[in-house]
Amino acid sequence: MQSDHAALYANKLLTDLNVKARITAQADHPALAWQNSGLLQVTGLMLPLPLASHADGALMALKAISPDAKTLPSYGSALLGERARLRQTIRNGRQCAGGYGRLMNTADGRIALNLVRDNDWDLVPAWLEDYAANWESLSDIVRQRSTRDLTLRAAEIGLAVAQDMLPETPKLWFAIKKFTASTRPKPPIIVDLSGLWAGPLASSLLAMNGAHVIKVESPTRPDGMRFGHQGFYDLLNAGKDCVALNFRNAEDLGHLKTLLHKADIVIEASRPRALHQIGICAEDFVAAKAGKIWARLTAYGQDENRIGFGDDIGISAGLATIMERAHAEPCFVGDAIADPVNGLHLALAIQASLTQGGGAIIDVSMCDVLRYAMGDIPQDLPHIAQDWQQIADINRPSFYDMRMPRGTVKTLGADNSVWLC
Amino acid sequence: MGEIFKPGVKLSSAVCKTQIMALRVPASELDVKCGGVPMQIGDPEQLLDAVGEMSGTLVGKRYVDEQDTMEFLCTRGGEGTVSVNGKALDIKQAKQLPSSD
Repeated sequence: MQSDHAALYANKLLTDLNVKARITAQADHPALAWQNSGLLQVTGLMLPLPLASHADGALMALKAISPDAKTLPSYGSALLGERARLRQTIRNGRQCAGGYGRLMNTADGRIALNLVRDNDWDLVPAWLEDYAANWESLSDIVRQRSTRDLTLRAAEIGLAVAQDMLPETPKLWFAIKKFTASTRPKPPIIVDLSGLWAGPLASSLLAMNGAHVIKVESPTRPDGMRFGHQGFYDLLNAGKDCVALNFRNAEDLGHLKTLLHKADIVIEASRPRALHQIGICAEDFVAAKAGKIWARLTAYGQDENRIGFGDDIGISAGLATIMERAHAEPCFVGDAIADPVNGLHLALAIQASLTQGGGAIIDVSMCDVLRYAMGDIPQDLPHIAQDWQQIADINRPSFYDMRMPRGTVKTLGADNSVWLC
Repeated sequence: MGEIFKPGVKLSSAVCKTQIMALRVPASELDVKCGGVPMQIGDPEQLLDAVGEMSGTLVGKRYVDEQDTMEFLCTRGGEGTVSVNGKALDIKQAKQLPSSD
């Protein structure tokens, strides 16, 4: 069963980016894309929004402006489900598929708390001004506190806490600051300072379009995904050059600045103040070289220093509220869903800018992009969920093929001698 | 001379705009100073002259002692140096990225 959900969204994205487009291809119905991508399995429930189809649409839009569409993955929605399929994880009640995030009741609402990093538990006493030894005592304390206090303090401390709410759809899913455009040499060099999922996915998609990607990591703080599922890390990072630089070391910082000047495209996902504090200002670099593109990914926008991960950002974008309205069960949706959705959109925004001669700072807020990709919220969510579940039931799952890594991955800093001279 | 602090408490400098939040603290008396002058709960009405080191604090950075028995988060940067029991705190290295999220 096919529909035009993906094509309509693809045209909308391209129009947003000032690219002429008339995509008419039919694609799998949202219910089937949800099922065949593995998202139904990991979530356990039907999402009554065409999010999976919109991921298909984002990839269709990217293909429409790519030199060779055949080098890109087959289905955008398949990228949303691939980690959960590889790791065989599923949502467990109010616990997210990745296992570190929980949905909890507060005195006046609900929050998602995602204790992903090793020592995040150490921050809980400062967050709550109280001691919690485990999830049970933590949720007992959270239940007595206001959502506002909990989210404000968490933002200050740097814990990933998100309010369960359904914001309005943003008017646009990116912000662009224009500088001087110019045709850049091909293939473009991408310096990718980002880690985890969204940024590396974007640069890997652009690599399929011919870009040369240099993955820059800190030797003391490498991309954490290196120590996660190897097959998944390979999918996102195979074929990239790897440079290791300690940003707190003056000599390395000099090397970093040289690399950032050399780059045609920079991708970074740091908190706004982090690069400023080491004297790196995107504006200076983009102004210094016509055609350069600098893409900045944040959880909630450049004005906020708040951190977020794919699962908790999904709650801020309204996915748990949607599931509560549709199924009377607020829950996490997908697997770190804001990450792959953003990786797709970011790659598209960069590729579009590249075709227009670049010369731009592109800001992407992960929460805004996900909310945009969720689309308008219909009134009759329970009925849509039922109907779409029936469509899925009739068609039985026929999962999209898993992707294969494009080459081998390199170790941390493997290409220092190539790029630092 | 010192005080026992709980995690989450915010201390303000008496010599600059620095404000820190206790993230991890031992259950013992701590003498927390900034620019050589004791820090206090709540902002001072008037700033005093510094009598100690003034190498500055950076907002968002975490500060630890040499033995890593305590950790403070700088919630507002300033010019003073934060010290505990006579020893200056140093910037902690950024948190490791998770292996999955």
